[in-house]
Amino acid sequence: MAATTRTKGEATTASSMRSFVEALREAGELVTVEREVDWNLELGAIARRCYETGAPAPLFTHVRDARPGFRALGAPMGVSRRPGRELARIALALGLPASARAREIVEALVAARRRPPIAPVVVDSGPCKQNVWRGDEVDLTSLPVPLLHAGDGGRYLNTLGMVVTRTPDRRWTSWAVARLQLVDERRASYAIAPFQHTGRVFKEWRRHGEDMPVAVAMGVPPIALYAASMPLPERMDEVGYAGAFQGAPLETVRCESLELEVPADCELVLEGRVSLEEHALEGPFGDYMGYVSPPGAAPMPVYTVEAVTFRDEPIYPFSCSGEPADETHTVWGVATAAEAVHLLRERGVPVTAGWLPFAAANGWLAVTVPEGWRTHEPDAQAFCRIVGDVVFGAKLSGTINTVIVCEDDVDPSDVGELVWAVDGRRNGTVTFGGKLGWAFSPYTRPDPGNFPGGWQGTAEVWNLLPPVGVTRPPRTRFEDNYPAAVKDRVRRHWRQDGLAAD
Amino acid sequence: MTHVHVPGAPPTRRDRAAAAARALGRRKRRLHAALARFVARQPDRRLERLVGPIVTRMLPFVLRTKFRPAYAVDFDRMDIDACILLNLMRDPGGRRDEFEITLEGRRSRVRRRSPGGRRPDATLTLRLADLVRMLVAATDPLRLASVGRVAMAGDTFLLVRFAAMFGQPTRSVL
Repeated sequence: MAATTRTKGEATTASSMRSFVEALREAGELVTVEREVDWNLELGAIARRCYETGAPAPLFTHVRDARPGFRALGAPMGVSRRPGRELARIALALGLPASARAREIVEALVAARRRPPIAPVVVDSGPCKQNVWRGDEVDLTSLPVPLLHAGDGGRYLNTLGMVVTRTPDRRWTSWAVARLQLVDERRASYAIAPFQHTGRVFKEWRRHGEDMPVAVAMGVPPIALYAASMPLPERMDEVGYAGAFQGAPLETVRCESLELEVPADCELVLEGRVSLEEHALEGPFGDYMGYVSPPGAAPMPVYTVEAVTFRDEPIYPFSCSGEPADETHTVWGVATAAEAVHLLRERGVPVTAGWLPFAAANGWLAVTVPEGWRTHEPDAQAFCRIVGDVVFGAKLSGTINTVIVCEDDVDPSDVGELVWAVDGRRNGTVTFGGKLGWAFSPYTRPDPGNFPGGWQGTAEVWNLLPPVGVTRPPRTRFEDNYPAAVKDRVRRHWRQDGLAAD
Repeated sequence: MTHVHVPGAPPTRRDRAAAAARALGRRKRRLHAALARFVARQPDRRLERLVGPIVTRMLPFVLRTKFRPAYAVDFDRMDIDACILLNLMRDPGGRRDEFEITLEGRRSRVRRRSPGGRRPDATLTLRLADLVRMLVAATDPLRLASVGRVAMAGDTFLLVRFAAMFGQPTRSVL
């Protein structure tokens, strides 16, 4: 996508990390931790406990061994403990009101997917250029890089930054979120999977015979992080999607040492190259499925950093992935749900809403359909097969092992209601074999050396739709069952009856 | 067709046949594991002295017969056209056996490396004893890599396919 030159515009919470951080603080979703915190497991442990308790995102101002002024931000898109505002941080990241619900969040991402991409503009400079390290000045160990989990193979340099790569012919610029494990002051091992977009770009550089230039942008505008996490089709630039989301071009700035651009409004940028020859060990890592895996480290290509640029007092964001919900579920999972809804609608499948329930660690996609779904395909089982064909035939299906199709009286983001519907309405299963993707369970013993066999598994669509001639009986839920007058009276007297929460 | 088990019903002929097949499988796995344990316990030098000459002589034949053309495709399912250099080391500073494995059009050619051979796309360097252990699944490539007993250079994606292409176990039975 060609870029043009323009001056800098106004920041929103979706288009600026600093605005997002301030919005979190105002909403009571961020606290500053000023005491010294150890990068050796303590940062990770605090962030993990924040995810698990819904505590605010911690902004650390003093990390042991880190260069003074460098701050670290954990759990920026975790789930909040405030009732009715559980998704507040995700909503703010996308420039929506803190009270936005799952469906509004997904629809905002889907709406942008329908709009034509908007090319970025390259500006002369940006906040991320306030400080520059080159060559021997580069010292990655002076960043607040955490050892996140007991059992990790090392300190993870990147968990929530955006990796920018471009094919040698310059026709495709890919944004992705990938993990990098610190090796020494200037090097990291880079976990590249061949079927991921970055892996495909890397293959083109191998054919070209040169090390792959890679920029890692950290503390990027939240919409850029969502765009990088979205399983867009191959050769579609994520930067164009980010522009379409905000309705204006994203401002980018050229790297110091590479022919790559990064968002101008970001906190810290690593510039370097991934070697075609050199390997270093990567992993194990506590990942989004909730386990430290695989059992040993694997050799991965080495990323050597040539330059680092950063703004004053940079904020280094990190995600301590694990049991849901962390950013692998609230960013990647939410973006995946949006892409699924978009693709299904594009194929004419009527879809009211879609969601990857956090509790299923990106393994379930729940899709709801409106009352008139039979106009698309009268037979429920055949309808579910169409849904499976679309989902499992697309890039987004990497983590998904189960698609649940049900009527839209069920809120797919309400796990309790969804499980209730699964148990009571399941009317059939459509099984898909030979699906490529990540291992679903630590007990399936994936065999990554054996491709494609070791990467294949089965996936299912659970049919929760009524058979022909059957209608759903009335529900018993308070909201659905009782006459409006009765509900009003109950609500009116709720507090005085002593039933309201304090 | 799914086999439906009825709770409390006596085993059918099909159930008995399945149980017999499982028992046979268990016996084979136990035998394999016993061999792997025996090989795993041997010191490098003894293993290299005992079976080293046979292994290096037979290696081209073994790899050729084990070769699985269906796996000689890359992640886009295109035929792999590449050269892998396999360096087998004995004692530090001792003898080194170099083999050149060429893959082209879903065919493989394995031979001792000669001067002026094709430039390798990937290189695997390991002790001969570890190769023997891998051949009987007493260890696996990732385990060796994670403890620094195998050095890899070049195309990562090609190297991770090596074991599968040559019908070798990609993980240990132990």
